[in-house]
Amino acid sequence: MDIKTILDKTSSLRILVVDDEQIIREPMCEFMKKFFAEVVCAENGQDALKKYHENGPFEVIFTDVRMPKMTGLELIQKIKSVSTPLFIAVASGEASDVNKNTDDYDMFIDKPIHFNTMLEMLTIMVETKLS
Amino acid sequence: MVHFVNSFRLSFRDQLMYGLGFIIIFFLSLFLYNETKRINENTRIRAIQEASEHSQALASMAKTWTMSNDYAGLEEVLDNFSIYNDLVFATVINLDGKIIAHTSKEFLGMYISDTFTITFLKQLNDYTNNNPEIIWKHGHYIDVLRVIHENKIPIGMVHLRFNEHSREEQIDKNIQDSIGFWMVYVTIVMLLLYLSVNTISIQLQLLLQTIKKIHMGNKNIRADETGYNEIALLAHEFNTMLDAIKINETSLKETKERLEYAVNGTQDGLWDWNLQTNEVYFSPRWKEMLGYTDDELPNILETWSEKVHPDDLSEALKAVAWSHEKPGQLYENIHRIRHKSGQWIWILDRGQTLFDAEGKAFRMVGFHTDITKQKEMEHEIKEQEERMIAQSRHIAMGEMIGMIAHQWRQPITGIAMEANVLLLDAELGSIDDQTIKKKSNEILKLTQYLSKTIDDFRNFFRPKQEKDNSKILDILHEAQEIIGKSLDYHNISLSIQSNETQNISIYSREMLQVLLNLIKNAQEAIEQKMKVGGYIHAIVEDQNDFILIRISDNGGGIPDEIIKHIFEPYFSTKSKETGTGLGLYMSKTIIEKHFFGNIDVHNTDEGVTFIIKIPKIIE
Repeated sequence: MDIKTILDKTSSLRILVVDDEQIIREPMCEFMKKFFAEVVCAENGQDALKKYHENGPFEVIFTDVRMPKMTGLELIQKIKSVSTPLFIAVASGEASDVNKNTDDYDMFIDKPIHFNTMLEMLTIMVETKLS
Repeated sequence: MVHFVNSFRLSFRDQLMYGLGFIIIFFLSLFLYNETKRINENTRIRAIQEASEHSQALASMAKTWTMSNDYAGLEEVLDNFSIYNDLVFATVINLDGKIIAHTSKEFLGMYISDTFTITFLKQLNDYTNNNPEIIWKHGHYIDVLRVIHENKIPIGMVHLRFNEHSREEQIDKNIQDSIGFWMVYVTIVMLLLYLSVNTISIQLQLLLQTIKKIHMGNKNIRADETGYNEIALLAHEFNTMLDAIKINETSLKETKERLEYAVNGTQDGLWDWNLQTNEVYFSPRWKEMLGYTDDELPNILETWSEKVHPDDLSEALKAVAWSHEKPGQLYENIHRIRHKSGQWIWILDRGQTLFDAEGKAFRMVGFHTDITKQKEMEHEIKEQEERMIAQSRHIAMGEMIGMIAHQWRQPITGIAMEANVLLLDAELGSIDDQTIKKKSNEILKLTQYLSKTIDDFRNFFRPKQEKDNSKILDILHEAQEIIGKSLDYHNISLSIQSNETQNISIYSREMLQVLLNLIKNAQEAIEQKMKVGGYIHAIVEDQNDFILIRISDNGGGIPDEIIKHIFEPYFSTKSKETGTGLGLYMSKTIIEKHFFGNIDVHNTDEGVTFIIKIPKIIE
């Protein structure tokens, strides 16, 4: 699936990007802005939950796992208790961190993330949830 | 010595005899001389006195007959005088010089002829009052001339001659008798003296022989206590002394035996150095220690000094010289000595210097202890320790790589994301110079960060031997730089607190290793308990002479039965994958051996606290 096809499908969606590292969060948000209609960035699980309630709901959630105050997995559970996002992706440097078979999220991504992985994630999202 | 004295000196007895003999002969001679002189004098006086008396008697008797010119009566008087044995002659002379009476009849009627008598006759008037006689001695003879006077008028004179020869012979005989008596007397006295002195001398000789026998080894003999009082007393005192010596000897023997047992028991080698002659007594065990028999090594200092390892000799000699200067100072030195087989053996050499009254060293005595086995064991332990240190370094490096992974994951992810944005822009054809510049700078910034973390780690691994000046606070911050990301990753907070005001001199790399180890242990304890809100507090207290570092955590603590073993090597409570059992052992080793401090641990309400105490050294 080429980028333009993905763009067509995602340009109307809103995404919540959560990462405690600014050096990752900023380019990540910038990247997502090219595809999504609206991108909201949060520093940790707590911040993300607050922003979800204030600006939500978001169709797509992209979150880091290990973060101070509230982890990514806790955040997902909390969001899921009030609504059902279209697509949830978690990213971590620690492969052992996440049970890949869990139903809590749609995709697990290893950090650092290759360009192709980013495109693959978006393609999977489009193909499974938006076609 | 005794023989030497004998050959040069007279014996006591001879000396006494010669001395006494000389004194007696001297005084006897003096006595005899005086006695002879006295007898001579007395005899002479008596002879003159007698001569004078005879002449007086004759003059008195002759007076009447002379006045009456009765010569026959005179003859009768003179006949009476003939009874004196020593009378040579007696004569009466009238004023004319005619011999009117004479003991020898043939001279009667003759006139005197010798000038002396004639002169006397002429001067008769002068002798009437004062001194009516002249007495003189010539040869053996004594002559007396006496005036015969009537009412102070001289009427004639008498002349008598005595022969003193027989009397002098008598005197000589008397003197000879006297000398003979004294000679016999002195001989008897000397003989008695000799016998008495000889008895004393014999007793002394006996005592001397007793001493000689004792000297030759007969210890049980005793001096004869009979005989003269003083000698008996001497013998008695000698025996008393002998008993005292025997007791001392027994006690000395016991002491010597005890010492021998002790020395043999310890298997130490004895040496005894005479500093004046440089002679050294080495005990058989001393030589045996070096693989030699007793007669194989000479008793000189070089036996030792030439075998000492060249690297150790100067230090050993320095220690020896030092002990020669300080009375009461014990000598101790460890050095290597070459064994007969060529191997080096380690010797613990201990001794003491003896000083004379003037404070001059004159003797040195000590022991050699073979400590080769201990040294080898020490060496083995040291090697083992070194192996452990190396091992712990490898493990620490492994742990570091884990930490680096944490440290790097985020910036690398950041770099990847920046690249992703650029690639996306390129794909979309919306790329512009502004974005390229901005993203490239972001990437460079992140690579610099990566480079810095590399430096941090490399700094840690560099085997820095020298001390540097730093604060514990700085080292804790360094540790935080290294392990901080890993702690963040596990949601563990690390707080650092310090009241340090100045730098201390410290092996900062080793301190960093210790602090990282403790922080990492705390982190792992917290992780194991799956605790949320894990924390580690590092508090540095700058005290007067010490620095105290407390590392506390809320990891749940260590069970009491385990806590006392945690500093032992290869002891670990962690799972086999993470624990090596060397971390705390190494930390303790470093703190004690390199910082001369100590490390302790105790449980708190929430976890444990490690306390490091090191002396504060400022340069």
